[in-house]
Amino acid sequence: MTGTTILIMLAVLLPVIFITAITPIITRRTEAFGVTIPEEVKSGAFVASHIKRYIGICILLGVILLVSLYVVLNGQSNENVIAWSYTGGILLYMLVTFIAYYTSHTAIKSWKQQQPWYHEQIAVQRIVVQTSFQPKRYVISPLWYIPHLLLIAFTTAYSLIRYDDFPDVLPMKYDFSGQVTSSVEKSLQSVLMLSFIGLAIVITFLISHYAIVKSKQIVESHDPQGSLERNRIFRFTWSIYTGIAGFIVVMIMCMGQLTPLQLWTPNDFKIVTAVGIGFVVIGAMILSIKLGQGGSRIVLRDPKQEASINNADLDKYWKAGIFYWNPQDPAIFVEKRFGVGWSMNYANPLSWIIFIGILLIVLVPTFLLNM
Amino acid sequence: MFLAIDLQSDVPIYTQIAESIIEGIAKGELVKGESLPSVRSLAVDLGVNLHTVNKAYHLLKQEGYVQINRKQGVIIEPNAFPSADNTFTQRQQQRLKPIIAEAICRGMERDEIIAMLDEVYGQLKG
Repeated sequence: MTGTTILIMLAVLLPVIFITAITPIITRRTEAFGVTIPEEVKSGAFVASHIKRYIGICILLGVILLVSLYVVLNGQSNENVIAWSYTGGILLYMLVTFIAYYTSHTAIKSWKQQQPWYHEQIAVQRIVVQTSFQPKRYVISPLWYIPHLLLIAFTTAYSLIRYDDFPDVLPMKYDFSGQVTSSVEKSLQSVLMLSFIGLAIVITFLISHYAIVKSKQIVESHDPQGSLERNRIFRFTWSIYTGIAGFIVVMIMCMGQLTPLQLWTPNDFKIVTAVGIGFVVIGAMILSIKLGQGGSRIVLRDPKQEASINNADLDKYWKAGIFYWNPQDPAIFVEKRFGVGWSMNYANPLSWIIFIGILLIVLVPTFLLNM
Repeated sequence: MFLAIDLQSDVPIYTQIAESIIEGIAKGELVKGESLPSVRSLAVDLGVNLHTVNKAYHLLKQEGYVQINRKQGVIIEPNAFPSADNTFTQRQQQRLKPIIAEAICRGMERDEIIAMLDEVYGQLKG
């Protein structure tokens, strides 16, 4: 492999490293490494030193990852070595940063039990919810996904009309330099493959939309009204993002399907793909930083109404601070404790059905493709 | 309205939910005809069993504070609440008895107890 290709491959990793490193800052102020703490404790010396340590480790490991990948990939021509070292490197990075997270998680968990505020916090396990109907919208309407479906329908119809104009052999896989490495014979199935994948993607994005709608309310202890409003802005913005990101991905799929018809050059398609994916990734980064988990980084114009309510400490249901396992809770979608976004209550069988459903939706078209 | 429950309390959760809603009505935070969250959504937000919320709602219905209908879900009774008739005042007296008895055991005087009642009243209808 040569200079530019390697640089692009390494540049793609920068957002991953960056988001991993800043995760403890963009989580809620009442959570540190998956442990519930009073808000003022998070900026205290002990937790702050753990956050600093974690960020340092993530950045250092990121630099090591980039440098070693550069050394391995430079001049490398064996496709297998390239693919394995790249994915292996990323997986190793995720594993080691997880270990760094986990050591901080256990350290803070045991430290917490020796704090003077611990018994006070554990004595009252209060949960607060807002019961009133909310006049403002929490998410965009699912009708915004109609354009996605129309685009797929149009692409499918157009592909069928111009079926005869597709070349007899269709490119299926490309290597990193853009050369076709595998191709299939033309058939109805192979021509329309990306339509089906696009449809699967729309379903997955609709499930994400549904998760944003249905996820559990979190009312923060010190500012119930304000935290609800921040959460509303958070959900609303992410639902817009999900709709737009879904449209971009569907657009790439549709464009890919029609590329063999030479309406545009493969190079045009490559540029649109790169710009589209870049937009999706950078958009997610900006939103994560600007809004924070649950909207915790949003600054509201109205001054906050102070009210002291101690929040329930659900640490025992958060395995390793990451996996929510609470058989008593009927909720399926819950806010992540470490990171931005939503996770599931794995004690609920429905969560597993949804999880497997998503896997099937993504895997079945890919499987059909390789048949 | 903000509905709060305490998972560590000895008071059953369904009682806490029902009492919290009655308190909301007394304070004027919940108005007549206002809809309450569905059983499922309240259970999800509180992280408690669906039956617990269902039980609380049925208790409130029995007492005449809410209506449960298929179309609108659970709403605060839009018409008049049941009046404080003889049976009701007798029951409230029964309920107050252990509370006041305890206060007497701890040496509280009549005036202090009345002042306490007055203060609680003020918190609800201040």
